[in-house]
Amino acid sequence: MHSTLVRIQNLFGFFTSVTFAVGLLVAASSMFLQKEMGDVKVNVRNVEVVKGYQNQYYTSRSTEQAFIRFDLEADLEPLFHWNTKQIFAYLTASYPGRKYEFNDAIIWDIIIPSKEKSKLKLRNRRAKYIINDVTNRFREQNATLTFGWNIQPHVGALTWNEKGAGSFSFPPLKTKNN
Amino acid sequence: MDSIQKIIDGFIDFEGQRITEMLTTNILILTGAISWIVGFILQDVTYTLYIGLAGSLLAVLAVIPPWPVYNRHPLRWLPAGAGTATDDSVEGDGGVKVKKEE
Repeated sequence: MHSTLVRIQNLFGFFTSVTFAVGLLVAASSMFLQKEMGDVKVNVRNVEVVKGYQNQYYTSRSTEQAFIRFDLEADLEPLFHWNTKQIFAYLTASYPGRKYEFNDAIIWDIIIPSKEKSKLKLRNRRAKYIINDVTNRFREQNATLTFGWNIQPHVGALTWNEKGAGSFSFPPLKTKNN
Repeated sequence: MDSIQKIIDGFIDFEGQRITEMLTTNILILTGAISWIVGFILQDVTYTLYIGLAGSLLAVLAVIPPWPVYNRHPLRWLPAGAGTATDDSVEGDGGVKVKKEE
């Protein structure tokens, strides 16, 4: 510590150690502050499967596409504490297929930035994203709609979880005739 | 030119080095502890961030400039001798000469 340069080096070195330790404590505290998530209600109102051209550059085929309307009721307030920066929540439609056993497609998502906006109450909401499939066939399959979320903390690891599933089945193809 | 060099070097004495070492450790640990506790109680991580930064800035101001308090115990050197040192004037092993074995 005899000269300015040595003092700067020592101080900064110890500063990084202390910062790391405080960060570790903050990350550790969120394990104890995490509360149990309340009830989640997912309900599918209306599903339509149609065949048509999609506005995507990589295919010119006519593909099966699903349009979904749903209800969602979820309270994410218990997940917010001092180390929660924001929460990414999403609805996943899962269904089996003939070629691939498990298929997941996210149909709707939202970023929840604060406790004040953590109560979700949606009625007859249209899905943000339409479903399409690599095998191009998923009509008449049984499916479930699951509410999942990803907690993004200020310091620490990202965590994923899910709860509340509503089951439905994809209807037969809707044509212009019926 | 000499005075600029002196400010840049910022040399301090041994007692000053002991104090700055102690200040660095204590201020930073205390800052870290307080910032975590305040943030936890008020449930807002931004308090942790700003208290942590403020405390660290305080440590920088307290320790890095060569404040006069860190130079209050200058080392006293022995006065320079009048001439060249001879065998007699050097205190050491008492002047015992080891005979070479033949």
